[in-house]
Amino acid sequence: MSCSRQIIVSLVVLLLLIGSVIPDRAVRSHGLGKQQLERVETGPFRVSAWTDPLSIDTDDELHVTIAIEDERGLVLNADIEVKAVYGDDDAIQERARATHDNAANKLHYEAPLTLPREGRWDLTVTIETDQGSGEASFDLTVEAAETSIPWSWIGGGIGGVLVIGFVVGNRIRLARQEKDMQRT
Amino acid sequence: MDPTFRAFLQSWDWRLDIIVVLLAFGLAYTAGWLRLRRKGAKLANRWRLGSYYLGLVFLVIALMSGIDTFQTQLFFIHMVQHVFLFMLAPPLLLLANPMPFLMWAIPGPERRQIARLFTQRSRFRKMLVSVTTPTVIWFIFAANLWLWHDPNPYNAAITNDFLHDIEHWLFFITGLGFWWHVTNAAPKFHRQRTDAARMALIIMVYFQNLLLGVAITMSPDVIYTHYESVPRVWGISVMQDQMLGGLIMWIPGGMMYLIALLILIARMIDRSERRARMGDQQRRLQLERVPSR
Repeated sequence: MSCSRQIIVSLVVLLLLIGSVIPDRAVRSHGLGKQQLERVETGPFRVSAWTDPLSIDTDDELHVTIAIEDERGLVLNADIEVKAVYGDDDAIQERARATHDNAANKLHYEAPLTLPREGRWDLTVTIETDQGSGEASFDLTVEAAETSIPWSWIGGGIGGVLVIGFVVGNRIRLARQEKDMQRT
Repeated sequence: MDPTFRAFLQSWDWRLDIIVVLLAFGLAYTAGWLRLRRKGAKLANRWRLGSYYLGLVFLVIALMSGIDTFQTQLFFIHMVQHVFLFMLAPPLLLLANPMPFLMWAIPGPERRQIARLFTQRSRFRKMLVSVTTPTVIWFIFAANLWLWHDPNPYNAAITNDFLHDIEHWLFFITGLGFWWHVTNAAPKFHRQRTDAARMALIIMVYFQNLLLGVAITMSPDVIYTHYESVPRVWGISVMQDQMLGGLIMWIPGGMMYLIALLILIARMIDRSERRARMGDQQRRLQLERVPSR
């Protein structure tokens, strides 16, 4: 096997390995998103919260990112739960624990949630620490899921087809030229 | 260890899109380097390979480490990220002269076909020459830098991943354009790439960078209001953070231009000394040839 082929094979193997090792969550959790709570005072804390993606539909996984401060600075040892209640119907609710592991920025806590119904949801962030507890709420509107166009896949596919087309076309042209040369 | 600093070190955002692109370019460069090395090309030396890898490492750190995840909370970290993206990674990648190596990573028939795009008569080359003159590059570089440091696009980009990625790509690409002229890396289309022209380009870019850095540092008000809405880290106030960010742009950022300028001056002096020495030698030889009366 030639050196460049070895490199191409190792590239494919490496990409597959990386793809299987990197958790899906970490790939998508970049940035903060829309700020829902801006340093809201509750108990001994100030709570900030962001939601990502910026507009959410029923198929999306919602990421709620939370930062907690007290008078000494950021609080890094809190137990945090996010509860989402659909409209005024307590029977329909989703809960998730917000952890540092879920967050890309380890100063923050992050909770993944899926809100399966369109309409208004009330989200409550509950904080528990040795120093005290607190609670803060906000609401957000979930849209009905629409068939989204996977532009990145389409773009990648077109790019791939163009590269393959260029290589195949070039090889066919060269083969023809060689045949013509042999004839003459 | 300070828990905030530990969190900074642990805050990696492994993005598959970035990893795939950087890995593909790293492996393509290595494949081309190995091919040229086997052919005995002097171009394929170890320091070039090292410089290219180091440039890729700076990109990895800028785009996926705590520098990327903390920039939403600290302005000065965002400025460090920008310095990495347009002042450190591009010159290191271009000092490795990547064009021939990337070309040699492509199979022969396709390489020859692509090389046609860069021949003297090629329209593509002519178009590329006209849109990449030092003046055009300077204008795009400066406009891009000032645009993204206006508070409105800045605040928009910091909360929107898509815009933020565009901002970073533009910083990196305009950085590549500027450093391409400075490092004189291939492809060498522009005839007027003399040391003096390159020095003039560096000075022009340096002054607009200096102006922006000073304006941010000296501002009496908070320019980037996004940072007022996020929790403070390490007890740094929004104003202190802004001043620090401006200083990073002003001093370490400016240092890169000055280093490049000093290297070019040193090269100019060295070349003129060599020319003078050669002139002396020729004069001495002529005098020796003249028969003494």
